[in-house]
Amino acid sequence: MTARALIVDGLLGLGVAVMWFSAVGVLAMRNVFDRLHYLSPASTLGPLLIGLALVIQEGGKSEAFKGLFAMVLFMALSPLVTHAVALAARTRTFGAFVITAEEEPEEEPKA
Amino acid sequence: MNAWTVAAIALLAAYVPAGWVCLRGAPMDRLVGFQMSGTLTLVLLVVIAEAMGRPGFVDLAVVLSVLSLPGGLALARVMERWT
Repeated sequence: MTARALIVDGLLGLGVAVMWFSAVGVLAMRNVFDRLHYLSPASTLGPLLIGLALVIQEGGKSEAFKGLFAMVLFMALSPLVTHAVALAARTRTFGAFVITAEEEPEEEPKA
Repeated sequence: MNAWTVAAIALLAAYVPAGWVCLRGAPMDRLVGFQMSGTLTLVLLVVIAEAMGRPGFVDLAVVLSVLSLPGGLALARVMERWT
C-alpha cells in the first residue's frame, strides 16, 4: 500500500467517522439547540476531509476539484442555514426579539 | 470492494440516526434531522461518484450544495412563522 493510498484511506475514514459522530449526536441530544451544535462538524469538517481525500486520490483531475468545490461551497453556505434554523427555534420557544426601553442604546451626543 | 465503496455503505448507514430524528422528533428537531440528511446526501454523492466511477454524480453534489441554502432558509422561515 502506497503512502498516497494510506493518506486517502485515513482522510476518508476520518471524514466518515465525523459524519457518524454528528449523526449520532443529533440523535442523542435532548433539545434543538444542542442538536444544532452537532450539525456543524458534519457540514464543515466531514466534507472537507472527504473532499481532500478525493483530490489526493485523483491527483489534479478537474472532477476531483469539482467535488472539493461542492464541499467548500456547502461549508460556506450551511452556517447561514444553521443560524436561520436556530433563530426560528428561538422564536418558536421564547417569542420574537423585542428590544425593551432599558436595553435600547442611548443616542451619542452630537459634537 | 475499495475504500470508497466501504465509505459509501458506512455513510448510508448514518441515515438511520438522522432519519430517526426526522421521523420521531418535535417539528424543529425534524428540521435539524432533515439538514443532517442533506449533508449526508451531499457527501454520499461525491463518494458514490468516486466509488462507481460515475463523475456525473459530482455535478449533482454541486447543485445540491447550491440549492441547500434557499431551501433551508425557506424551511426555517416557514417554521418560524408557523407555530
